[in-house]
Amino acid sequence: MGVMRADDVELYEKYADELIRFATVLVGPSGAEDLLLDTVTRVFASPRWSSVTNRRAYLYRALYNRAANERRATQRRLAREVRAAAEAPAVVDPPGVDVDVLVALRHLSVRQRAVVHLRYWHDLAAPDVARALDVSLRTVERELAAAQRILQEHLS
Amino acid sequence: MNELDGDIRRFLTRLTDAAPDAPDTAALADHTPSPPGRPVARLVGIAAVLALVVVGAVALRQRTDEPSVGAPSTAAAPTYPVAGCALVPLTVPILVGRTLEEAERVAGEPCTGLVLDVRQEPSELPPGSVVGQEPQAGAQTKPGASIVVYIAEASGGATSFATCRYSVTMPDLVGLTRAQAEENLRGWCFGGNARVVEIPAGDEVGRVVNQSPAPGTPVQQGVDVIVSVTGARQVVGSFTLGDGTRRDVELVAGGICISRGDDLTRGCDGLPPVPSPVVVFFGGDGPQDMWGLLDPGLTVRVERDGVAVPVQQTTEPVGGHLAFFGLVPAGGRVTVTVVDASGAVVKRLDDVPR
Repeated sequence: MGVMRADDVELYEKYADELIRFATVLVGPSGAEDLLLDTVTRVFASPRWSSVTNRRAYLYRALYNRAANERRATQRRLAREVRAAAEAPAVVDPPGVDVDVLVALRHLSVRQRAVVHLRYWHDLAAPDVARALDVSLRTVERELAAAQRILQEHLS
Repeated sequence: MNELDGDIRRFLTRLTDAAPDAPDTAALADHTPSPPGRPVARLVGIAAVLALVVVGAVALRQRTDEPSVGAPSTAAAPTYPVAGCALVPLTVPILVGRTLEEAERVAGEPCTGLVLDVRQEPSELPPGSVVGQEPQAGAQTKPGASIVVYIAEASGGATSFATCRYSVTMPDLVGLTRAQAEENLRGWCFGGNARVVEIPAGDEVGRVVNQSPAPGTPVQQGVDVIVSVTGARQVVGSFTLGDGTRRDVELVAGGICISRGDDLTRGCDGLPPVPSPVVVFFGGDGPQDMWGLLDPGLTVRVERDGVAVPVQQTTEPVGGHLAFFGLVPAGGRVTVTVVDASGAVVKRLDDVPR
């Protein structure tokens, strides 16, 4: 990427931890770093970046968009991780992630993961989730309900 | 629900506890973004899927008590023929305008099993939406065939990926400026299926005076949307009545007007009764122009090869009759049907000569 602007460095350091958590929810632990690096370097290099006002929200949206675009690759990788975790938990990288968590994650769509994270992790109300992801309130309610059904099945 | 909420929060905690450390700024500075499309990665991915299928099959045979854990969710394309699925050519579905997830769902429907080859493309359209496909919708293909779909690359947050619609309810565009109408059409990603046609007309140029389908009509991708915008007034043709009188036809806002002879200054009167409930003319300045005269109280419907053609019709009699105008693409079989106020067919002209 080359030289970063000072304000971009400051912004990244401020939000890196929460962005990597969001990326982890979107694509799983092993794909989160790549997703974050790829997204942030693209965003910082974008000519539109300088005109963005709510940069934190923009980064969240960009992560979500990129995760949605990479969905198929993510699903394939998660399938491999689930298999690896089930057969040899000791070699799962990073350590500590349980197979049931990965299985549950795999059964959610990218949009459902994003909705669940914003709703339960950030405690955003449904209208705020809708604004954050730029989707309709009805979509958020539908995806949240679907995600709750899926998680209830896989976490119980 | 409270218990479930707690489960979900614990799920997120366990997941995010496993999050790697965020890369530092030095890693960020050294990172080169992966190029769009990433063909090599895709090939590796395809190979990985094939390997997973083989490994998965072996694993499933070894651990039949845990079928859902070992099975990959994105299985390879089904092998055809499949029991219960007819071996008939498939029509490529409309994928443009959908999200990738919707496109994958449509492509993966039973007895379809189309394989999507996803490629990213820089686009001003909402990121994450399908902005192109090959082959085009409507083409013939076979089950299990590959369809290339181009996804709008996530280039920014200023555009909304919620605005790209597979289906919309037609809003009332009449009265909007041309730019406003075009903005609406772009927002839906209707692309080549939406047309703005300019009809020579009225006092204020550049306003929408007609639209097809009508406001409130549900429309989907692939349906022609035609928005008529006023342009400069002009004579679109002329014809000679039975008594040898020559008449010019002039388009005005909201319909057409029959003017007398060379007098084009809004002289829409003096025409004798039409000898038939309807007369139809083709030609004029444009090869697609079709206009005609109609007895009052009647409505004309025009079809080309069974597909309705938008027709503008005056609502008030001018010179003792109504006039109508439409744009009919070249070729095809044109049918004109005249109905009265109750909807009863008064006259039907099949295969109108052009």
